[in-house]
Amino acid sequence: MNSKDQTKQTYSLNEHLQIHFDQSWITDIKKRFESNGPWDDWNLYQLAYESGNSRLITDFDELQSLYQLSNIEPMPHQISTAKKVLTEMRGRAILADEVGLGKTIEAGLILKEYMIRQLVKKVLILVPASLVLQWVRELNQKFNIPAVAQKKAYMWDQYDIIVASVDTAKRNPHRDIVLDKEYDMLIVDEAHKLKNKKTTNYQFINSIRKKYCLLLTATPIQNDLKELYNLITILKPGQLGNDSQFKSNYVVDKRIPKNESQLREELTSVMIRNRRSDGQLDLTKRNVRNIPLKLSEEEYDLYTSVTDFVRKRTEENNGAMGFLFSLITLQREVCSSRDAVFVTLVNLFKKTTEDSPIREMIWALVDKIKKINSHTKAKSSLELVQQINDKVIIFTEYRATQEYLLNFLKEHQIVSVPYRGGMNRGKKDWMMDLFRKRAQVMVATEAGGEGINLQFCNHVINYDLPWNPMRVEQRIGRVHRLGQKNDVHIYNLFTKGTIEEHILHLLHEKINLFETVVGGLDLILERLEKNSSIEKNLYKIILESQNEREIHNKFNELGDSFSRVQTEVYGEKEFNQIEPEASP
Amino acid sequence: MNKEQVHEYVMKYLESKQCQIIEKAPDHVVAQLSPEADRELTNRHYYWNFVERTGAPPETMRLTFVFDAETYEQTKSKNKQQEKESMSQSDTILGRYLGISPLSGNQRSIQQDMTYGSQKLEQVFHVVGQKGRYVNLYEVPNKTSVSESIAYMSWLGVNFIVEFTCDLKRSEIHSLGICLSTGEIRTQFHESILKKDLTAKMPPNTHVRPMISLDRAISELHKNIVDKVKVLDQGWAVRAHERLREEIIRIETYYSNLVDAAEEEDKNEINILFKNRLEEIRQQYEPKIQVSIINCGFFSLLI
Repeated sequence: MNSKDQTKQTYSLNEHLQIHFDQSWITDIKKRFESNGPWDDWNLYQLAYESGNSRLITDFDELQSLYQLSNIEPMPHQISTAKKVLTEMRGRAILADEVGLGKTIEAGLILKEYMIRQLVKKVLILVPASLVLQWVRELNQKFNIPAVAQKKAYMWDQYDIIVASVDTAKRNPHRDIVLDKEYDMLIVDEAHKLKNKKTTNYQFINSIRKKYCLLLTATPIQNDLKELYNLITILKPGQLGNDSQFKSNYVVDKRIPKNESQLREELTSVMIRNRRSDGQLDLTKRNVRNIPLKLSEEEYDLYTSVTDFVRKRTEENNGAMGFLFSLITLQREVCSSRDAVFVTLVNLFKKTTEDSPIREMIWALVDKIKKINSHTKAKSSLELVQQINDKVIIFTEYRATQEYLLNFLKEHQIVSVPYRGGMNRGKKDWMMDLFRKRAQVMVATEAGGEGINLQFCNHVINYDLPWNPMRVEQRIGRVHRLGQKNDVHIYNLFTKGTIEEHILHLLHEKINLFETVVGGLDLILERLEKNSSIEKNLYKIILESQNEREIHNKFNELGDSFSRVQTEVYGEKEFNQIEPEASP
Repeated sequence: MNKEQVHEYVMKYLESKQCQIIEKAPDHVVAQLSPEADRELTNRHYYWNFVERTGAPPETMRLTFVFDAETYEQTKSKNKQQEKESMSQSDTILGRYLGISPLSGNQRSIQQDMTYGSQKLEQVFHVVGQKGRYVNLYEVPNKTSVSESIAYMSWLGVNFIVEFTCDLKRSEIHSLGICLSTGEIRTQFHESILKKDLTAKMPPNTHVRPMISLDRAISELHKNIVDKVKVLDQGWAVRAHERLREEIIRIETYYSNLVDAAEEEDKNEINILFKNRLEEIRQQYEPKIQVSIINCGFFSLLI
């Protein structure tokens, strides 16, 4: 700092404004003058002027980054958000778009803009561990921003733009290093996790020194007002007064605000929330077709035998839930493919002792599997794929089913590629590329995780269904997202008279998961799953029910409580109203 | 810069570094780098260290600079298709799974995206900025007169960059030239010398007039910049300062309340936060004007 000052000459224009002249070049040119060289090339001199000229920022307000991005075309709402953050919010903002509208893009755009203007050099991006690599990749590929994932302590000093997990950064030795630095920009993803100011995460992030700051969250308002206040304190301490002023001015009860218009006004100065309903952001339509299938006699025989097997084991094995759950998986697998159930049976067999009576029963089941030679679901999927005659993604829960399908499709001259969670990044990208360019079908076992964007495909076959609604939504979300130009067709295959029928009834009729995007699904589930996950609840219902009727009724009850929580979350009218209007 | 401008820029760079152009198209160019360009662009410090120490003959890299990725990929895949058809009988393992098989023979060329804003182009900008900073040039006389020595007028040309910074930034280029004999200052100096025929080697039978001191010349240029900046609208700085004042008041109110209400043992910690917040807000908003240069040089021009 000081040495730099010595090479500067200052001239005061008025009491607030000074002109600083960089002096370093003067010594350089003098030295060269005295020793007559070395001199640079005239052509390079001209080029240096040209690039200097192209980097000129002719306007305080106009976005420069748009001319420098060739790998991405930001949407209008993302551009207007970036503009507003720069020129009105002065680089400190909560970005609170609804899920899927591209908060990361907005943050990247803003970061890029400041970097081009050389106002930002040192950047810290704190995200959940699972998103670190995705952030790095997006910044690298879409924005040409040389971000790196933090892995070793020395990296804090070596690299200017670091993406790190909050949980790592807040622990020493990292903590002390980070708090010792001055960052030009701090970005925090999933910032709603910072709701409580007593947590170490909150205190750590609040202590970081930064010039510009972006907090990204999809669900800021649903938390109580106090939590919102805490977020704003990181950005602009005192914006809503101090603790007690805030309480007396704006809060009636945890979730009920007062002086709404004023609060809304205050919020617009620190927060931007774009919503799908604001127009232009509407996704294309979803068409849903449920396709009932009748199992062949051999298949149905296997299904009932497995169901019996499960019942009997349940009665014998009071208590060991984990084991019982794996038995239900058997039932689900029968509906998917005989290959899937076979693999699980073999594993089960290996776990039993040599003299166990179960072994014999398993053998009996395996015998039944052997008798099956035509596969109902595979056949109708093949017909469906041929009929669609376009790119299709088939989702299944089971590896064995996936393998079987890949082979089956190959036998029928349909080019398909696999996609699995266990594949490394390079392979995943490769498979996506092959699907786009060469294959008609992708058979995938994983929908979650990041980076599978398949907007070029608009047909989804759910070969079997996950029991977790979140995962269903993730599947559809792979193709039904911004950038999808066509209506999306969803085909749900289900076998009649099996548990699949119950699950589909719950997810489709009761939760209405397929036809529309259920807003705030994660939130609803979070509240619904206070005690145990929805998946576990379903397993329990099946194990504890005496007959099909009972399963049906209990599933209905579960569906009803889902709707109740849904209205709770979205019916909180006053609450929703305080969200600031998104700028057009 | 648009695609064409980037293309032209990169070509000029490659030429001035004596790189061998192997293939040239509107959307891309393939070049065998010269050792100098290789050092500047490929980030192979260890390799070049090795070459220097062992004296091994350097092998430079071959780069494909792509200016228009879309058309480039299109033609590439079209070519591949043709290749595939022409050698459709060959059944390799990779070929069976991918429909392609890697070709042997041609030297591998690494693909570089060269769009405005791409990292490689930034790198080119950076090295050009370093290596095109100080020049000393002479205008080539029309005809060499034998009898009389031609007198040059020496000019110091400087391409200033003036940055107006608060939480946002705007910049201007001022290209000034000062005559080292008379003290005359010309604006848009860079443009004016682009039209001239210049050489790095002093032509025979010429001489340079005596000059005023460099320090004096530079301070005259600085004065000129100050005069130019003075008359500009300073509204942006006034507004920035106003914002800064408001922010400081907000932070002071918040934290002094907090400090007052805090337990004695927590006060120190809050005060540190307080101090940091004030400091970062100053960094962010304080308006200032910074003057640096893109490059500069001595230009001996005919009178």
